[in-house]
Amino acid sequence: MDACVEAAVVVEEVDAATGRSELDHLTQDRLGISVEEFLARLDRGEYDDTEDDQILRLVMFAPFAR
Amino acid sequence: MPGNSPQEAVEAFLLPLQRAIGCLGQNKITLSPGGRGQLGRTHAWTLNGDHGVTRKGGWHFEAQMYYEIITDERPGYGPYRVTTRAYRYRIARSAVDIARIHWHPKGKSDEKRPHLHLALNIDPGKWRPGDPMPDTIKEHLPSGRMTLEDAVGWAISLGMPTVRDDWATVLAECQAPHLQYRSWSQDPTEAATI
Repeated sequence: MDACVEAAVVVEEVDAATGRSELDHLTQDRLGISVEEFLARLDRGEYDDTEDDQILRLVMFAPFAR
Repeated sequence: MPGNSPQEAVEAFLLPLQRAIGCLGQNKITLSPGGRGQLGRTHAWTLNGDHGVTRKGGWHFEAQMYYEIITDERPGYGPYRVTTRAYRYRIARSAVDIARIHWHPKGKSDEKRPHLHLALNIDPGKWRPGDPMPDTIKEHLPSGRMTLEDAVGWAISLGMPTVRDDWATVLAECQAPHLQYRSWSQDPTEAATI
């Protein structure tokens, strides 16, 4: 370990199309549904009481597709 | 963290997070669209997109946060600042979850306070994907508000490799502005009284 390495942590803001596309990829891969269906289920409250960490992980991505 | 513009408030919010995450090496904070300064909507950031950070020894750390840029008329707190709306941190080793650190207050769940899910009595050397997780991981263990710096510090304390030997000092410095400007520490309903 180096004594004091100031590691670079960059910040990147994705555009709306990229954000939606990336979340669509994730929801297709993990839930087998489109991002539109995922957001509709989220808005209907279907994930409100989830403690499934992998679903929560996707829920935390929702602003990327709004 | 206040700013004279929404963009300045977001920069002030992100700077300590960048430095804290730097304790785990070179990484990227990914912001949702409009996340650098758009008012009136909930934004999110994630650590390295969907990937989190993986380090030697099978250590893995994920961080995600909802935040919002708000106006705050209190002297010294505005005119703009960023407030956290939810978070999720995960510490794992060799695909075994050690700690899930959650605060997701929206929805119907009875548990709207910050809470932990801890895998107690598990041996990451023997556990294999598909094996049942200990029952303790299902339990909501109420916690105070956990900062990103807390979570990074936990990960390093548990054994995740760091690139800094002064990581504890760095994390304490990064956490200081958050502790100064946050509106609650134990229960989100505290904020309603401020």
